[in-house]
Amino acid sequence: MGAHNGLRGRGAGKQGFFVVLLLLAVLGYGAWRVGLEAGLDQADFTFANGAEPTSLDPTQTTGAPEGRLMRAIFEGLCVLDPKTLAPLPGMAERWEISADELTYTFHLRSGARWTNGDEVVAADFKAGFARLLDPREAAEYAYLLYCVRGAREYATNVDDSGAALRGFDTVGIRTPDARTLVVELERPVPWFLYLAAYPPLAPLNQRALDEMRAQFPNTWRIERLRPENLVTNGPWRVVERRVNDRIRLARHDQYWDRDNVAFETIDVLASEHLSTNLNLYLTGAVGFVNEVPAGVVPRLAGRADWNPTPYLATYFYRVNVTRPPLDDARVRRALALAIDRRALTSKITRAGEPPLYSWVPSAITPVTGYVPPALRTTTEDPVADYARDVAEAQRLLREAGYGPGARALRRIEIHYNTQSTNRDIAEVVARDWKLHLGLDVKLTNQEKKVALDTQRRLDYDISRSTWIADYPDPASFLEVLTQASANNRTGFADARYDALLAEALTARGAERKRLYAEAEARLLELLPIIPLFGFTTTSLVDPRLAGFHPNNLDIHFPKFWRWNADGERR
Amino acid sequence: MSDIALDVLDLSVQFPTDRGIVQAVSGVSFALHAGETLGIVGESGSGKSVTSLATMGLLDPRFAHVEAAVLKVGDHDVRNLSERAWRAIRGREIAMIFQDPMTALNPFLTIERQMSEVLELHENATRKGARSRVVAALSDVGIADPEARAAGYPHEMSGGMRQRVGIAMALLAKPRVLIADEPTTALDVTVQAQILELLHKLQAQHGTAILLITHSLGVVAEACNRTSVMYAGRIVESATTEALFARPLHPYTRGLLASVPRLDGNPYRRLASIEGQPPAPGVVLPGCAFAPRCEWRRDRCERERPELERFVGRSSACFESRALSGAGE
Amino acid sequence: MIRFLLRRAGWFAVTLFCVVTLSFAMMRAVRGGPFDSERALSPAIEANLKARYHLDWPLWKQYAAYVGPLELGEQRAAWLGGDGTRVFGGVLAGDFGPSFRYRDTTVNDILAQSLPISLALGGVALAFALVLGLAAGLVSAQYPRSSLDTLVRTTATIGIAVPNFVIAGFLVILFAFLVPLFPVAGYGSWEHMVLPGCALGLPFAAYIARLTRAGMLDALSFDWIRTARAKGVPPRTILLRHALRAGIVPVVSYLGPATAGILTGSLVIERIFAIPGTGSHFVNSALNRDYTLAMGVTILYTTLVCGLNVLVDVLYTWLDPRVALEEEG
Ligand SMILES: Nc1ncnc2c1ncn2[C@@H]1O[C@H](COP(=O)(O)OP(=O)(O)OP(=O)(O)O)[C@@H](O)[C@H]1O
Ligand SMILES: [Mg+2]
Repeated sequence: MGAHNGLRGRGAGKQGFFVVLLLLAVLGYGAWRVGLEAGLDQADFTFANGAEPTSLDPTQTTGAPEGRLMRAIFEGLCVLDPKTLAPLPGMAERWEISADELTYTFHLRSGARWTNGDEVVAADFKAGFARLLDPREAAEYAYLLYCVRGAREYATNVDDSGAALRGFDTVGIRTPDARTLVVELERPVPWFLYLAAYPPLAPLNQRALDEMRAQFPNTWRIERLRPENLVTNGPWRVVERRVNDRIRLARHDQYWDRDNVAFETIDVLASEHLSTNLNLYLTGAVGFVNEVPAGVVPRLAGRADWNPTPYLATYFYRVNVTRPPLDDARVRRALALAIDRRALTSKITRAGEPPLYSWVPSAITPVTGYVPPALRTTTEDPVADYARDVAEAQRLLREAGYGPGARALRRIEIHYNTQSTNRDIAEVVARDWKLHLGLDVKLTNQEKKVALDTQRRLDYDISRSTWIADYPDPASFLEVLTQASANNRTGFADARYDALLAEALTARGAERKRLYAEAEARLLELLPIIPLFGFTTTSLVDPRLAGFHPNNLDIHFPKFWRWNADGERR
Repeated sequence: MSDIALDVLDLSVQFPTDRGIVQAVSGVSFALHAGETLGIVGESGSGKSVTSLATMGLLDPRFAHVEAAVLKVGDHDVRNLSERAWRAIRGREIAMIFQDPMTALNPFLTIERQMSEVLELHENATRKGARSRVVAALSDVGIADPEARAAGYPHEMSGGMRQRVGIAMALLAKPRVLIADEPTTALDVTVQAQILELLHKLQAQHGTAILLITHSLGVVAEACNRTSVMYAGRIVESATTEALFARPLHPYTRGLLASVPRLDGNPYRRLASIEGQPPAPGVVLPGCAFAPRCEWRRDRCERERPELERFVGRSSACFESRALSGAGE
Repeated sequence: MIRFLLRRAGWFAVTLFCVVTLSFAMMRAVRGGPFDSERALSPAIEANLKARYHLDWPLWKQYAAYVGPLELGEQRAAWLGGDGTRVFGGVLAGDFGPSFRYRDTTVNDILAQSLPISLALGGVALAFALVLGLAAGLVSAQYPRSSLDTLVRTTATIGIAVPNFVIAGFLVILFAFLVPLFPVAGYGSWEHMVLPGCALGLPFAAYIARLTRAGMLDALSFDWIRTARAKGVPPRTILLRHALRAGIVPVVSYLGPATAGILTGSLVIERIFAIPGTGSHFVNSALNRDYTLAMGVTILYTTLVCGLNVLVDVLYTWLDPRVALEEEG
């Protein structure tokens, strides 16, 4: 820092003193202003929401923190019952589903209003859906609506400038009158009502957007999302946002169900530091924290506010099926069988995660009735089960021509993205493979985005991943591994598997479930992925908070939250 | 009130160190009268500075043991004086100027700040009131454009000017005693003479008693009424400067003088060295400390230490002095 | 002074150019892009997204557009809206562009919102470090080798050795849980600044205490301190008027590095205490491949550190009159 640079010689500098004084004054003034502006009174309810939301535009968001926020400030056609997850009326007061399950007719309630006073009409939903699908908006979740007739074609056929080639009128969304929205589907979509409650399918106040466009021709994309300009239709509106600190919500006075909204104000805190969030919770500064540090999980067992619940997410290893010896399904199966999953969940993760022997997590059964097949049989005796699995794994390896007296397996590398739990798990897996299969395993950690890039380029043997369902249906998992899927990243391509999934697309009811089960069974035979366990929620919730229920989707609508009758605000 | 400005009797200073006790000064006595200049000469390490610091109470009691039968500045007995009481005397009754004018002044403060401080401390002057006196004092010591200089910093001045500032600063509160510890050693030869002249002039004006510490017999010859010669922490000879130069009684003094060719020669020559070295600090010889280097050494000199013996108007610490002094005559 | 500032500004421009170019190149060289996530994007969407942020351009053109205002003749979907003839003003026009991750905001917005908070936190930490460090160092230097001195030195050694997040942990346990005086984390009132300010400032306070002690002991051994004592200046005045300026020169030299350290130290502290400052973006923006935000933060920090060094140099001239800002070309 060469502080002496440029210093030499003689002469006094009284000016120096004043420069310092001036700078101190500027700094002092800044600090004072910061202190003043920071002043917000205590909100009725505060919760730690995880990372700072990437956007307040519902079509642009995908993450869980954004979802929690969006469900507070926007409302879709439906909401989900906090306990049963059954679709309840939202902006639509009722709906009809045609007998072929292809046409949904939503009847909007009268008197639902936007924060700018406009009535919420069917055209707002059409505008919202149009924006979600518009290729120029580049919404990541656009594909959720590809089940709508003509939507995929509209969204994916673009000209050189990236604009859609077709008109939006080719998409099966109609508004026969201001209060009726008709959605025509390409095929039966059992989860469509869940989608209708999903933030990216929120309505859009086109008038407000056009006004912003006129007022800020060059910066409207940003201006319209500032708290003072943002027009929403949910139970709360945004009154203040400080990046990485909080979003302050205040009750939307013209919200149709205003009388049932308990909290006047809510603070949505943005902090990714898990122990900080935990501390905030423990000191009563927040009433709900979405995730706790892995290290404290064992000490939380038995607490009334600790209810880990399995949800639709799988912790798994991708296997690069293009690389020998992993191109041999017998080797992959041997690897999958030799892992002691119960050791992982009982010794490392310890939040009641279910060991997984299927690709679709077991938490799907209570939501959809689908029962995933398993890659091994499970009996009452887990120890014997594992011993049998190991013996089978050793047999498979021998059969594949590896092991004592035959070729030695080459060293296998496990990539994982930097995080202590991932490392601990990889170490246990490596130990199992070493112990039972004599495998030499190398562990390599990579920063998250580098790890993704490694996967995309199929530059790995085994790579750790997580998949979280977009919608409650086995398809949300199974579609990942089709040959065409960009999320595949294993090199896996199986015509039979793809055909089964294609067939399931148009099937209905029990037939559909049977096809998916058959596809998954095929997948578990070929094993381009090695499932390890299903995730559980690791949130802590103030026991006095009513209307919050742990559920298999980990989806929560703040509009149902209130303090217990006997619970006092802290 | 006696006219003895500084009375020192039997001053001893010890430094307890890791390697034993260093007896830096032993049994030093002298009396300094108003308007008089007493010179102290001696080789490096002979204890001159320690003597002056002890008289100023500037030795840190944690590291130095100072003892004296009498230690009086004017009428103030300054033995075992509290630090607080000392502060009222230092700068007011007894002041000091130092050898190196380059480092003796604080480079971070203006000349005025450093000087007015003395008046603020000792005369309750306000800073404004002090300014005119500071400027006058600077002009008294022959500094041109004193107002501008007062506002300036030491590094903007030459060594001679800084020593003038040091003198002006020391004399601001009109102390009875001024201790000048080698005030000219660091200066050019021509400047040395000017500074000595200045001291002489100011002494005549204010009647200040000056204790002038120096290596240089030339300086002594020029400026001192009386002179004491120190060797290994003791005064070995004391006389009027004239008598000392005319007839030195102690062989050490003789040696010193012998190395100066003639009194009317170049008076500013440094002391030429006498063969051998003084005893190392901490070494105490049973006999005369000079004995190992003395050409008249006898057996007795190595066994027994000669006390300072008084003769007419002078004193010397050598068994041979009596014969030389002609006291028997 | 003006010349000096101009020269430094010139060097700053060169530094900044290198930093911008290097960090631009490095950001792009790292694998993975801002829009990569576990869920792959459909090709049409990815193409549109890249086009919106002009990631489809050749690198040199992206760089040119980032640095300077570029008139784009092309008809594109602009990320902000409008007809797409303007991406953003470019760094030269003070426009750091859109954030790739926080899509509703510009880097300018984010920095404008977070920087004052970081500065306030840094200011609190620095003030805390200075007040505590200087006070402890001064006491320590005034009474060297006392039990107080030992206490200060031991504490300082521990404070330097222990990283700030450990201190933060201790402070949280002590003052948020055991004795709930302050909020455990968060932002919104002065109380929220106390624990993070202390945690951030403590290691620097420890270092400053050490530097002050050493600097003051050094300063107290200078000749001019003896001169001041000879004038009868009381110890506290000696410490504060005569020794302080020289004694805290090491502290001032340390201010530049310390402030840079406090800025970078706040990365961790802001995370632990959930303070919405700039520091938390420093690492996250790189992890998120938020190219523009990462660059913006880098440019901002470079500017701050360079500015601080100039400030420190200016401070020197105020402290030490012998030092002048280099005047010659
Ligand atoms: N703080 C101290 N601790 C130990 N010994 C000391 C200390 N100060 C002085 N001495 C010793 O006292 C003796 C006399 O030192 P002093 O500085 O008085 O000599 P001096 O006659 O002034 O010499 P010079 O002509 O070099 O100034 C020296 O031997 C020195 O080593
Ligand atoms: Mg000396």
